Amino acid sequence: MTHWLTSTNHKTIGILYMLTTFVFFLIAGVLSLVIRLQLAAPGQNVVGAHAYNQIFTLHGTAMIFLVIAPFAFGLGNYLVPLQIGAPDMAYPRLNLLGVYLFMLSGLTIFAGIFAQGGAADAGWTAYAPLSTVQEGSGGGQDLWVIGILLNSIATITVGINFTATILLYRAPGMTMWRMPIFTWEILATALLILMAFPSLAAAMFELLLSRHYGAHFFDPRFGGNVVLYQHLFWFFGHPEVYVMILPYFGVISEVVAVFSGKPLYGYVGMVLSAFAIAGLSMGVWAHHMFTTGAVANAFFSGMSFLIAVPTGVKYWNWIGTMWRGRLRLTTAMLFAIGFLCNFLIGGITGVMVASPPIDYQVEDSYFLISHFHYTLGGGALFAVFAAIYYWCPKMFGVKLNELLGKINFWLMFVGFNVTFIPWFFMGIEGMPRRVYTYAATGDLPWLNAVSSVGAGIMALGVIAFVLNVVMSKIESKVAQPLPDDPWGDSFTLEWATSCPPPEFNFHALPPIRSERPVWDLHHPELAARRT
Amino acid sequence: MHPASLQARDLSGVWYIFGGAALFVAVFVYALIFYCLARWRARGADGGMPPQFDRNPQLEITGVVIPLIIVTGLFYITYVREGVVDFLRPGPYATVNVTAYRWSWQFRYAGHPIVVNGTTQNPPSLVLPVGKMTQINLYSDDVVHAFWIPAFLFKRDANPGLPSSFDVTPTRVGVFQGVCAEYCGFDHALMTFGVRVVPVDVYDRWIASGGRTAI
Amino acid sequence: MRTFAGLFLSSATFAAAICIIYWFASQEFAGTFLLGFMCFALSFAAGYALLAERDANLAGDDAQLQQKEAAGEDIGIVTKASAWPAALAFSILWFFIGVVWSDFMIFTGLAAILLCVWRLAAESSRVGHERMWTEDGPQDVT
Repeated sequence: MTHWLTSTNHKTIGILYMLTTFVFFLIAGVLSLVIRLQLAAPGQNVVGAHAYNQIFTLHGTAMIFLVIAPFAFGLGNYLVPLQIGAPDMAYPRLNLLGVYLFMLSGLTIFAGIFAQGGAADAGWTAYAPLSTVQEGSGGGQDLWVIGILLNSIATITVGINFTATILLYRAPGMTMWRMPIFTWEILATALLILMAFPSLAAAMFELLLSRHYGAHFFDPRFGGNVVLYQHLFWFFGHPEVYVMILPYFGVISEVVAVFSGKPLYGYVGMVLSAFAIAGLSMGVWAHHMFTTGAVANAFFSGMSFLIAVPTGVKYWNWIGTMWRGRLRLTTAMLFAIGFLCNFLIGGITGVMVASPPIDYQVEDSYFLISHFHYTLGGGALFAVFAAIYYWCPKMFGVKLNELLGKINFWLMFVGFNVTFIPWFFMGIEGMPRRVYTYAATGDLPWLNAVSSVGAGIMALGVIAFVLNVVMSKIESKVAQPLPDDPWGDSFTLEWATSCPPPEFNFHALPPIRSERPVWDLHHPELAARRT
Repeated sequence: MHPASLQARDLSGVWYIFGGAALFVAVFVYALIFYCLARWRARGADGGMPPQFDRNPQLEITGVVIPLIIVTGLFYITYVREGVVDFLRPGPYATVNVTAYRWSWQFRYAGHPIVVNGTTQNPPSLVLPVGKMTQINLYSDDVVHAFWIPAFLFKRDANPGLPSSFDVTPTRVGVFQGVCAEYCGFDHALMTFGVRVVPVDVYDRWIASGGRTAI
Repeated sequence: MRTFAGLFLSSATFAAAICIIYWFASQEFAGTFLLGFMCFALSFAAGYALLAERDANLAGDDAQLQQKEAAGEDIGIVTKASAWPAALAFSILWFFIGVVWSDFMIFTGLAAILLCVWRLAAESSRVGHERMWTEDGPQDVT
């Protein structure tokens, strides 16, 4: 037990991150089911307004800060040292500090439920002045701000650690242009974290000072500016969504390549596009503020359209990887293809909302939240499951059951689309977001009802996953130990060591002469022809 | 969509163009993905390693240039249309000062002693003359709200301390829904308002009567 | 190191470009400042990689290096288990709760943070392991 509390080993910490995020995922998922139950029909009172407002605040906060992003940090923590042939991360104790701050941030945010006035209820974006008024949720909102501050410090430590590790700890021969694509995406993510999170920390400090020390940053009655909060928040907030997707682009690249039996197509383009996306994402923040009438819409719109280009490069390359390959439709590959299908809708609707004329209608409506649920839920979340199915054998020495995996996938894929496609139409019809009820006009009632059914189907998919984990664990007691490379014909260094790896990661490192060192090891005659 | 204002007609043009482009790209990419799945799915123990090609610089550059051309076109359309919609035209037929507060709206008809205060139980109605331009000046008394009329395909945030103005020219007589579109706390969901677009003579009579004639 | 410096330098150049364009497009101060500071920070990192680490011969940067040639190269000192990161995390939480609710917790929190940082620094020499590249890969030698 003390091992789990004090070990600085990156694999232990990575698993701690991922297990914690899974707990928060289940909680945030239950919250979303309550939301869909409340909205299944107009005028319901499953939960009252105050409870509802806390629920969607906690759902968004948890999914973003406690699930999608930290799962990627945990996955990166586990994999990056293995993929570059390193014994651990550059700063193991800083790593442990980070995971503790992360776990404490989640507990702090949810502790708000027990505060007088309940948990935070200003939305995950906590716009000022709504978040600086003291009435209603006092303690809960303060706990939320503290939690987000802890979370930002944790994330900054993660950014520092990944950057230093990738710079300093690559094994002999592992030049940067031979690194696996997942590691490159993590490097781009780390850079984004370092550039974006300080702005969040600043915004949170200013909220605390405004709430308790008489500061008036955002209060126009004293010369403050409400839009300033939005600038600070979104300067962080937009890169944050790329922090939440770049690692998963890496996961998809790894999974699609291995299960197509071909090297990743356009490796250089994939690396350059990751950094193009990261760089551009720092310059688009006020596309979240088009409707304020207070920002330079044309600048932000143009920059936002540009991001579609490197994202298109990635799609081109993923398809190129599958082209003329031998596609093994394992559960991990199914989730990866599900990602490609879902994220495409998210990306295309993203290009649409990048246009202010369109955004004037759909900002803060169900169309908009469908866009980001497609990228984060249909995209990142599906990549989370792809990663779990692909790397579970490596991390735990157990392969998850493929039949249950396919049931898990199809329930989630169908459930996801049934839930979120209606939202596009609900938004165009005029349903705003963050509402505990709506008028029984037009198509809203039946669209909402269909969406709620979809949420139930998705929940069944998650249950199938939990069953899969439990059953596979039971089965593993009698199963044969796995070989180093249980999927066969893998590429990257994590498959050159046992399942799970020893404390030091490698008993022996193969020579590193390309971006597919394990594949080269298994196919020496073909490897000899490459550098 | 059924645009109910001149601006909405301009905006719906953008919708159709983007919707068309979106459909085209989606169909194209889905076709490629499903083709790969249908044609190259591994079946049984069919042997052999697939061809290990992994690059084609010309194809990859094409994959950059074509999306760049598409988004440039979309941006141009956006830029032109937005300029038309955002532009505040001089000489409105009517001006309404709208103040958002938790959780309803106040409408003050400039130049006339008409003030309408709403509550969540009794949402206010905004009266507009059809075919004439009305300027809306938007304020907030407390937190950030947003004034959204879906039939006009338009919304604008009400930021306290940062008044904002835009104009609308309704094109159809009727009753339309308006909602608050920026989360503002407890009863955000109930912060609605009505929009009654009436013929010009009805509007003029309503104004002259101090907002008392039935419409 | 050169790829790394190149990465930061190109990012800094890009940041400079969008900072300038943004200022002319908007005359908005907060965003311009954030972009400008970002450019400065990226340049700083690029400069550091280029100048201060000029002589760093990283094993990973040598494309032809074999494991056995790299053997003997020192990676650094590593602490494999420690209670102080957890203690530091709790101290930071305590401090922030104090910022909102209690002056006493602010001061005790700061003291606890300093104590943890001091012990973390002292720990390396006491319980740290020295790590090196060997023929088989990275290993602890102490």
